[in-house]
Amino acid sequence: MSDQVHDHIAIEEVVHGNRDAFRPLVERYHGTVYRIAYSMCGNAEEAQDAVQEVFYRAFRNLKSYQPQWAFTTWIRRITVNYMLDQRKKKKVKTQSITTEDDQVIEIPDNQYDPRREYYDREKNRLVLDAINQLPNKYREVLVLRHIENMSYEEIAQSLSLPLGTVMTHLHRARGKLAELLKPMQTEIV
Amino acid sequence: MIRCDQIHEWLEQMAEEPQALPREVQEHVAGCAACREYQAALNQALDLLNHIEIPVPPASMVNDVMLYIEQRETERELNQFFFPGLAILKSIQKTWVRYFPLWDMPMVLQREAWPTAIATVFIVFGIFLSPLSEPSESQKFLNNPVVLEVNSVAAKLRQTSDTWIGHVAAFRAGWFGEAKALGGGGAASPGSESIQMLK
Repeated sequence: MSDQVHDHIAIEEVVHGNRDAFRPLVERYHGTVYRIAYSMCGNAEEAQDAVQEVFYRAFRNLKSYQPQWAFTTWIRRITVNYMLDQRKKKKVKTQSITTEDDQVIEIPDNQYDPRREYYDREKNRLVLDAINQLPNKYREVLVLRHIENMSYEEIAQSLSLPLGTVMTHLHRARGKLAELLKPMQTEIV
Repeated sequence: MIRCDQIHEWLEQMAEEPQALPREVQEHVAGCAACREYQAALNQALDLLNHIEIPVPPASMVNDVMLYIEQRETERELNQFFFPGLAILKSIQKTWVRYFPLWDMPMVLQREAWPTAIATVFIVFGIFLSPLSEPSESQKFLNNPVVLEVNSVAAKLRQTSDTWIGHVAAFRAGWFGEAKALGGGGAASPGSESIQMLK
C-alpha cells in the first residue's frame, strides 16, 4: 500500500475518534513540516513549536480534509500559512545581511577545522536571513521548490495559486535572492 | 536586440536548466559582463539554497507532538465542560476578529488571562459580601429590639399551645397591626398589648 492509502486509513480512524491513529502521520511528516518551518524562520526552537502547533491544527481540522489531496500537500499548506501568520503576528524584524570586509575566512581543504564549521554555519545563517527578507509570496514558493523539491503543480495546489503565478513568483524570488546574496558573494564563495 | 533586463528574466526563468536558454540569450550573456555577473550571482544563490543545511529534528519530536495534542485536547474538553459560556464568547471573538481584524477583544478572553479574571471576580464579590458593607434595610428591621421581643414571645406561644387558637394568637402577636387594632395608638410599641396579656 502506498503512503497515501495509509494516510487516508489513519485519517479515517482519527476522525472516528481514535487519537492514536494520528501518530503514524506525525512520524511520516514531521520532518517535512520541520524543514519548511525552519527554513521560513531560521530558528530551531521556533520550528519545533511550529511543528507541534501545525500538527495540532491538522488534527483539529481533519474533518475538513479532502481526500483527493495528498495529506503531505495539505500539511505543507497548513505549515506555510502558520509560518506566515506567525510572521505577521510577531512582525519579525529580520537582521540585515551585512558583513565586514575584513571577515574573509580562509578555508583549508583537508581536514576538520572549527573555522570551517563556523563558516558553514554563518553561510547557512546568511542564506536563511536572505530568505526571511523576501516578501511572503516569494518566500513560500522558494522554500517549497528548493527546500522541499516540490513540482510547480504541487506548489500551485498547496498554495491554491494558478501555475503561472507560481512560476512568476518563483522567478522573481530567485532574482531577489541573488540580489540579497550578492553583497557577500566574496565571503560566501 | 534583447535588453539586459529581459535577459535577466530569461536567466531567472531558466535558472534550473541554463543549457535550455535560447541561443540569442546565450550569445548576449557571453558578450555582456553585467549579465554574466548576474547569471553567476543567480547560480550561486540557487546553489546555496539547494545546499542549505536544515538541522535534524530531535528524536523526541513525535512523542512531543502527540503529548501536545493530548494536552490541548484535554484542556479544550475541560474548558467546554466548565466554561461553556466562555467557549461561546471565545468563538464569537474568533469570528469577530476574523471579519474585523482591526478590532480585537481584550485579553480577558484569552487563556492566559483567566487566572487574573477569576481573581478579579473573587475580589469584587468579596468586597460586596464583606461584613464591612452597610446593612440592608431588612437587616436593620430584623435587628430592631421590639421585633426581637415579639418574635421570642411568638416562639414561646408556639411551644406552649397545642390548639389552633394558640397559633392564631401567636400569629396576631407577631403582627404589627395588633397595636392599632387594640387602640394602642402611636405611644405603645407594636404588639405590646398582646405581649402584656400573654405575660
